[in-house]
Amino acid sequence: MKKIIWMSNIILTLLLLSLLTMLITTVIVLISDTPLLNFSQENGTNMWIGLEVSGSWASAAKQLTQNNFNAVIWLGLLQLLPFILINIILIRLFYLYRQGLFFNPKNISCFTWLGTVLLAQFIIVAIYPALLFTLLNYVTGSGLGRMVSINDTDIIGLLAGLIIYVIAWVMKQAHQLQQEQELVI
Amino acid sequence: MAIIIDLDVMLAKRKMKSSELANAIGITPQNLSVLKAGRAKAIRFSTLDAICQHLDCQPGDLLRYDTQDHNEL
Repeated sequence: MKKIIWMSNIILTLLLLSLLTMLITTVIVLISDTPLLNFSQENGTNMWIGLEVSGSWASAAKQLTQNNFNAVIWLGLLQLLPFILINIILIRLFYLYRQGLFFNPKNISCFTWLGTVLLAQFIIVAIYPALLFTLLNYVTGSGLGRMVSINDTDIIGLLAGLIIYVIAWVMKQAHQLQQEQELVI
Repeated sequence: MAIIIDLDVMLAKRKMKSSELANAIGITPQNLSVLKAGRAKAIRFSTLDAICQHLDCQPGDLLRYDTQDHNEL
């Protein structure tokens, strides 16, 4: 029990830092001209903060940039959104663990939401660029080639989502067992 | 539930308070209240053993099967 609370405190701190970084990144993207703020120094220290479109959307981002669209705004922010949501859900989950709540309906709902976000992320990754390009082609008349691109990281995300759903069901069973156990005198 | 707990009857016969029995057998008064109210899902043999020992009775004096209750379910 003490171990769980102690480790939850560390994880909670890291998650809060991570969320803060993501929010700063979002603000930078929204208010500045450049999606990457470079703090590199002449002594060789390299440091930058910002957002880059990566993974299976990289080629879609390249196409957008070639057609004078801001790829970070159109794709990057949506790519970041699931991570922000996952972070918030995990913060809630580990906050509950820190309070000593393990097999609680609130924890189960965290797992269900986590699974849902990961599944939604997979669907968005698969269909969003094609939908966006169709819309942009229709509105602006630019000849963007529609594409559906999925890589192994997305498939791992889908798998993780499904596994987390099963864990949520197992947690539900554990909660029922705990409730019954409380009524065994 | 078709199983009826007659713990309050036995406590009255022995002129013992619930809290006294709870203290004697090492369970909380709340848990004993759950047992008395018939809300318990199960009873441990160790608890039953302790209750029988302290009330000087048999498990059959505490537990009763009610057919009418079962039919209502």
